[in-house]
Amino acid sequence: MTRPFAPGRLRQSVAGWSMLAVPLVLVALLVHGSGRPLAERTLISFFLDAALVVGMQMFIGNSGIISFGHVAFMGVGAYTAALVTIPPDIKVQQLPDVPAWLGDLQLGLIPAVVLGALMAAVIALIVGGALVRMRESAMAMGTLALLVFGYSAFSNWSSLTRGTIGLYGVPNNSTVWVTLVALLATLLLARLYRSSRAGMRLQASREDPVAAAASGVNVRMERLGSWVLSAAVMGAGGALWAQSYLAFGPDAFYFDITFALLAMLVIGGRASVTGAVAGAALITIVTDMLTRVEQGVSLGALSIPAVPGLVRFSIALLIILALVFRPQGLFGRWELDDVLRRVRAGGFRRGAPAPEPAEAPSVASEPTEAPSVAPEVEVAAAAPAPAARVGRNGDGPPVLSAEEVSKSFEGLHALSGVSLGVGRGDVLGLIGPNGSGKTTLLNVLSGIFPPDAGRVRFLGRDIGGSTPHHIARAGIARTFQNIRLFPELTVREHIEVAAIDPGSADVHDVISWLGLEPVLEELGGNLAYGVQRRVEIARAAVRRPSVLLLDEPAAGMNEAESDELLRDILAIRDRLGCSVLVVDHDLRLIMQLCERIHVLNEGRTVAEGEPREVAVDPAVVEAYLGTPRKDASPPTDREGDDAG
Amino acid sequence: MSARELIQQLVNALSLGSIYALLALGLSVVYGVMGMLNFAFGELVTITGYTMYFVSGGNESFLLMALVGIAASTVSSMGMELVAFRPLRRASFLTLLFTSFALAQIIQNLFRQLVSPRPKGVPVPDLFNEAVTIGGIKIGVLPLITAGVGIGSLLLLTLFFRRSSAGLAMRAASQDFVTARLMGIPANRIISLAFAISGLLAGIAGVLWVARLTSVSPAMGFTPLLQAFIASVIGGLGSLTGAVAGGFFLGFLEILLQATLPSGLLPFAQALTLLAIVGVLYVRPQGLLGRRAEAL
Repeated sequence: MTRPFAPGRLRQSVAGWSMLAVPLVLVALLVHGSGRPLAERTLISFFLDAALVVGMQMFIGNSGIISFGHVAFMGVGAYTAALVTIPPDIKVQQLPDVPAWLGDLQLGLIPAVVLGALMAAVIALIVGGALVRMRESAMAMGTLALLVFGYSAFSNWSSLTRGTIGLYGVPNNSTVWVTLVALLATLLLARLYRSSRAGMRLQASREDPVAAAASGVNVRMERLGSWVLSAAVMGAGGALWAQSYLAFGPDAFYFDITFALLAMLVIGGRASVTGAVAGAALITIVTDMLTRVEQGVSLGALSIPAVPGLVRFSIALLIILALVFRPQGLFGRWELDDVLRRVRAGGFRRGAPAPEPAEAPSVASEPTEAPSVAPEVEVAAAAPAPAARVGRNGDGPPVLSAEEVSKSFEGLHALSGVSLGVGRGDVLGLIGPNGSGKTTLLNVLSGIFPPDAGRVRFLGRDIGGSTPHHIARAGIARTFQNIRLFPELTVREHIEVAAIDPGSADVHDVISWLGLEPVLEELGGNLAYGVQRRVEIARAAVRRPSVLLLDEPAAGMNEAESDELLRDILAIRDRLGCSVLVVDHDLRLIMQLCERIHVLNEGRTVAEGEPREVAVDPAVVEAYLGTPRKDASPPTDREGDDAG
Repeated sequence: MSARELIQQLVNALSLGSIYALLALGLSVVYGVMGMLNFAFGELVTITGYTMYFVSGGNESFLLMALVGIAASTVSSMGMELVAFRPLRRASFLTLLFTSFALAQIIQNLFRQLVSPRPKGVPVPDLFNEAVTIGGIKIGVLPLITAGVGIGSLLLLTLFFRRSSAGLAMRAASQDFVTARLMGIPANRIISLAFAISGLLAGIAGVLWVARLTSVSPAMGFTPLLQAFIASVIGGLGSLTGAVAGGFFLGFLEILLQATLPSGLLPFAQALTLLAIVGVLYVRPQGLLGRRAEAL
């Protein structure tokens, strides 16, 4: 395994965390020093809310999947803490049926919080195993089911929860300092997770699950890991919450608080930890002010009458306004330190490429953090892998081969018994008219669809029907015909996410091969078209694949651009010593790039051989131009390709 | 279970299922064209209910109350789209979800402030509490009416979707909105129409719902919304036929659990329904009639 952080990310996230921590500590000191118990009470509830919101952010923000069920984990933590902290005499009085060992139990603050987190994590693991198999919208539904399920369990499991009446007598352990430390710990955990490789992989899957899987991300596992982690935080938060609110019933863990916490997250910006805290702070301040108005205030001669229901109403309005003006929340995907850095660099909010952030060169000077790569100078000299040149032109067994592969979509035969082999170091071109099955073949080779019949062999193993991330991890990388970048990730993050194995290439080398230095901190969604193509190739190349599958890399490029692309592809092939299978309509590019060409038409192989032979093959001419008997119709130029 | 009980329960299931089917279809019509889950959909049921409550003050006939309620729901639905969702046309799924969530809160609070936080009774005809005996089997009038009105509305709507050009446009738009626009279907009009149909369905379902509850309260829209959401997810989110199938599936499942669960587990009936549905989604993540997504 690689280290849990990409170079420089650990330090960056700790620095970013301290920027949030310092003001929070200051506020706590200030409020505590003022000696106003009411203000202290508000502060404690803010710290608790913020910790809970950050707990939700860890899953919702990074996975992009909405969860309505997290409050159930908070409830699990709260009930667990209550059951182990309420003094035995009060406990038995409330719950006569409680088992003796539990009735006599009385634990302190820390064991109660740990137990709360553990209970939530165990339940999350069981539920999550089912949830992560579902599609995103169904998952949202599943989490809603969890919320309702939790509520009915809390309301009906009377021997432990005292039903709808609820429990009282929880000792008041959650002081300002306890909740402050809890919030700081949660923030640190969330920041570290977000910047870790695991967190980055999950964020990639949020942006585009298919592209993430094709980059070697096991989307389900990443989702499950984050789900359990964030449930544990909710459990701990609930345990602390119980020791601050002291008496509660099942209603505390239902829609009202779900709505309140989600509102904080959405207003602040769900994709950022800073946003979660900012949202909690904003809502706390607004609620505090409005609650006073709601109860009626008198400012000297002027008195405002009580307005019941004002708080909920105003917060709902605030959400709508926030979403209209800042759909991604106050902070969007950025953390406080990102914002400061980008403001300093002058690139924030503008389309112009942001200059390299100050710390980037320091990353390069830390070779210890990238142990897998040879020292920089050597790699930069691009030592060609010797193995690559030896077996050129298809000598020896193919690295990747399709044997009699067939694939149909509801009666449409996209592929009927296609066989092809990519030799070591080969550049094989795959051409054919629109709808001939090229993209479908690529999708079968990269595991997006299983073949209906036939085999796919890679390095001697049958990989037909394996999942995309297994195939990607085994050493096949691909790009997509309709570019699939991660719109809300920076270029650097694209490449870091894909550099998943110890054997990956150095991120900086790949960046310089493709000339991506000027756009490193730009978001994928803001890039010019040609740059997007290069980022996609960089994302594939960084994994040092044995085979690189390129799906129409030159689509939409002019001649100069496609010449540049040609040089890039050959340079990467030489540097990585990989084989390349390239699909394109740009015959000029294919003829120059490929040593061999494979031609498909209507799902069947019609020709294979060297570019010269193929170009004059009558079957190929017929596939492109139609049979001579009919009027020679020009090759179709519809955009929609292949059944995939 | 005797044959008599079986038939009684079957009518109950058909009646509950047809309400759910109407609700799910109303939610799906909007999801289809806009890709949004309208959390304020339940509030359309609330609006229908309160409109009926206001009209009922003058001793009006139930039919008139119902028609005014349905009209109010339809108009409110179109109004919601115009005021809250049109400015956010290009926003993400989550943004729209939260906007509608917030809108639902606002509407609920309006009823809480302007009417009362407590439930208000709505008079229903005595006929609804009676039962008729058909072939020796006693069947409640209300379930029969509900099933009849529900299934009748669904048939009429099917006719609209299949036979009218506006219905064809709606179906096209819910399969591929972008392409439908390119084929000359006006976006604003089709979205307005979708919200109108959604409001109409919520209104019809709302009348049937109020007839069962005989009272209205500010938070009454929650259960219908939840059931509509669940039913359309089981059916396959975005599939109109799936929504109807999911609605009936959910109705049957609920009646089945109520009829067969031991009394100790009855409080968990809703939770168990959800569990069963999560089970369905486990096996078929795309829903009963949904299209399969790309593999992960």
